[in-house]
Amino acid sequence: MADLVRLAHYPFLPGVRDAVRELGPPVADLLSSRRHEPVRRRAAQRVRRALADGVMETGTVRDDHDALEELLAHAVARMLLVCLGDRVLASRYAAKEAGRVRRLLRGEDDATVQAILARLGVPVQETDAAGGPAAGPRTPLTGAAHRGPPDPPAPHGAPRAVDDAATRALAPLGSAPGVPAPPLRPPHVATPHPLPDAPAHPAAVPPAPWRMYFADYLHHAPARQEWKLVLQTVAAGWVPMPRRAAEAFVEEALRRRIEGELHEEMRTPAPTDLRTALRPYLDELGPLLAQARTKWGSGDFGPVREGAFPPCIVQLFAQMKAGAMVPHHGRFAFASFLATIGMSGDQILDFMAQLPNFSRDKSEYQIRHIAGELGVEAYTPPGCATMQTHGICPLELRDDICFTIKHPLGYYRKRLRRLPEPVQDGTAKGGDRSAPAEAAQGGSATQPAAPARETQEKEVHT
Amino acid sequence: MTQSGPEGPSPAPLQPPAGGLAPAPSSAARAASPVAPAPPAEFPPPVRATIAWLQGLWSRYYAEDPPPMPDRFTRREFGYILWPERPGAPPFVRHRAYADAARFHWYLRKAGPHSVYYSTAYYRRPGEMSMADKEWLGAELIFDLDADHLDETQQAQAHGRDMPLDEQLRLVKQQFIHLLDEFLLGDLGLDERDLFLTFSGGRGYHAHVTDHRLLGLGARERREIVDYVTGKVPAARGSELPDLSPFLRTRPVARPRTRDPRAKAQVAEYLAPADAPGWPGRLTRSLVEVLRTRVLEADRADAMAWLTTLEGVAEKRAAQFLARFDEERLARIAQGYLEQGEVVKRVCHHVLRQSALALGKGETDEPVTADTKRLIRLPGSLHGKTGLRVVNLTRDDLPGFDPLRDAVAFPDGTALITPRSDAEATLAGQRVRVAAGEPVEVPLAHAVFWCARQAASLAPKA
Repeated sequence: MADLVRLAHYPFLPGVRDAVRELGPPVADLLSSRRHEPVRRRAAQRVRRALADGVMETGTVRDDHDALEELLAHAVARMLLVCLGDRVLASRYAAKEAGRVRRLLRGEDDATVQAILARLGVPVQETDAAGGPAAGPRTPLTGAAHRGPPDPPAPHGAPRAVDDAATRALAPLGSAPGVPAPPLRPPHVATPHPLPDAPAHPAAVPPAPWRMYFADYLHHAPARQEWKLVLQTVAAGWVPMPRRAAEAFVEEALRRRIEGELHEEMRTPAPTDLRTALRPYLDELGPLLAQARTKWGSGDFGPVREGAFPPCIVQLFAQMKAGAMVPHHGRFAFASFLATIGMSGDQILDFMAQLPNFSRDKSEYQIRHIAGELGVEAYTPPGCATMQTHGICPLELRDDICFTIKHPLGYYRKRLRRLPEPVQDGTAKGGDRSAPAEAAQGGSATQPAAPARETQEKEVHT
Repeated sequence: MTQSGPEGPSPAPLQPPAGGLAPAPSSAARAASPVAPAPPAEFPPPVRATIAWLQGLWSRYYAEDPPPMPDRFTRREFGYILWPERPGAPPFVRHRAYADAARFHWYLRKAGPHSVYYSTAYYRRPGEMSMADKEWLGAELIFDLDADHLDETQQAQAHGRDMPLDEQLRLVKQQFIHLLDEFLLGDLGLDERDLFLTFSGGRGYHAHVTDHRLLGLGARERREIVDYVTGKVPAARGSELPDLSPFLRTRPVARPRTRDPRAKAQVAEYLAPADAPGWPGRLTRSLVEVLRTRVLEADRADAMAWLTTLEGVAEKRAAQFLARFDEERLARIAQGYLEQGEVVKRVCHHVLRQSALALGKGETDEPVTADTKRLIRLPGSLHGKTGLRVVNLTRDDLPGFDPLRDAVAFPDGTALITPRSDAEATLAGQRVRVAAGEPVEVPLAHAVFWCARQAASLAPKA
């Protein structure tokens, strides 16, 4: 039996499923018996942590009993998330859980980090003292996800609906059925080029324990600026991976994996049996979620701010409001823009209710589809070049920001930075570079006939 | 429109003929008006005759010298620009797929299309019309350099003078070689056998990378590669200049100069030595190059003039710098030692951010590389605006390659043309000058060159 305490810390390692199956209670008990109340409470606490700011902590695990509880709490937390069905919450949970693991990694040795990289399918190569490939046994360069041993056959007897969902939730990461396998990439043949001899330099950086092929680096790197390829040292196609980078890559791989699995599970609504069993916890978490959502927006963008909309979107809305015939590309750009900056399908429909002849019924399906609420990923809006090709970009209404971006989302981001901070009472504080006129008009001077709006900046509450 | 070809169905149209050369309808004009202004309905007979003649020449070329099929051609989509039958945008046909070369070559002979394209992407069903049905399997990583995009060309245009074609070609070839040697073959360590290079037939070059490890790269990853090549280092907060601190290594000074605990820690700054791999080494090399040419080897007045153009360097500091700077200091900078006194260090910082990075970076057309579904000119095909061939090249071919001599498709014979304006061109080693209005017999290569860009039309035989 694998080290339970270790599994509790890293619930994606091989052996989790076996451990839970052999040592854990039947699912029905887990969800309703009083004996397992602590597990459920811990699971709810994990979800609450994802709702709030602050980090996800590793539960105190002193012995095998604690470890098993922690493992079970992970599983029940996922069930709660699936029941709540909120994709943004799932993303936050994934990010926080991945952050928790990263913090743990700091106390681990290189061999452990390397094993975890392999388990999560992040292909690195060990290096020797000069930074070239190590002569000794290597991390398998699979490129494809390294999976644990195949799952044991399902137990006999007709499984109840609860069992199915629960079984899904208990599966260790990466082997959940229904999650599409990452595309198998051919294992790259290592053609190591030794780094040129660098003279001993007073500020020479010690060689990193690993290196990664640049194509893999691009695929697995977190999307933050510090990991841009241009800021790394790329030599003959290889990027050195010091410890700190390896930890960041573990975090990213884990985050993607958890998020992907949760989103995939959310495509089908949770079974009623499960909801019923977890009702008390859902009743508590539901309102907390609703309240937290008002602060969220789409992660990247924060709360939706109408005053930062680019001229194309503003113009599209004005045209639709005036009853003009807006072509499909325009309507699509409009809806996908709103969806990407954080509006839900409902909110977009509410927003569009202002339009004359707007039929909520007729548009609902399309809007929800674009917003990614019908099982397919949400669409990103087209970029400026595409908009110009389709005649949607109102060229004569472009302002100074337009000429520095290539995408309406880029415009929105830049404009957001210039806007003054809204304050609760509806007045605005001065922003960093905002012109005083902006606060008064809620838009730059070059804005065209905009949708009728207040003179103050207005937040569209999510 | 880049020379590599459009990805959508509406490339820049062939200019409708007029008294002089009509300017291409700007994309602004096309997009702003819902319907393009109606062009004249028919071609006048001389234009129609010219087009028919060119088409005949193209057909004959394809009959005699059919272009080889690209690799895995059954997985590629093909597209054509056809010779227009009436003024306006010429027809663009795409979603063509071929099971065998014979049919493809038969079509080229029959239609002699203006331009021939193939997809850089591989599809399971390339002939399908929608992207989803085609099923993308991967795509070559491509780079497109066009003289149009070079800073020098744009600056010349801004000053109202057009750089002569041969100079443009020389500059773009230089940049192309820089891209290959420093980045593709250099930092990224690509194998020459995986690189496929062509002259575009117009004013630039293409590089196709067929390394199987890179075929699966997505658009985001390809954009990162562009950022790497073009040295797009993110700017520091509150500035527009790149933040080069990731490239600076610091080391605490052995003996602190003061015991005051409030004083900032004394650190020495270092760059990577000039022979270090990746961008760190390149940055140092570029800095050395700039300082050598602009300061050491320039006369004092020029050096002062250049130094003071740098933001943050006023006359006094420039003079101090000049007084302290010499070959020995440059040699130490080449080893990465930046700590050469406050003045030298400060000026080097300014030079690094404002000049050295720009010198070292590569050029490439970002939307082309980022696009995973690009159509690009087929090697061995003819460029419909010049009559030059899209030529396959190796790295060794490049230095001696002269497109105006080595890409001429019609080296023999002559034709009678009526130029629309005064013109001069050197092709296949022959320099020919013509005057507007008078029919004149010129070498076939020149006749095709001018007629294809509508600077002349075929003169009726006397």
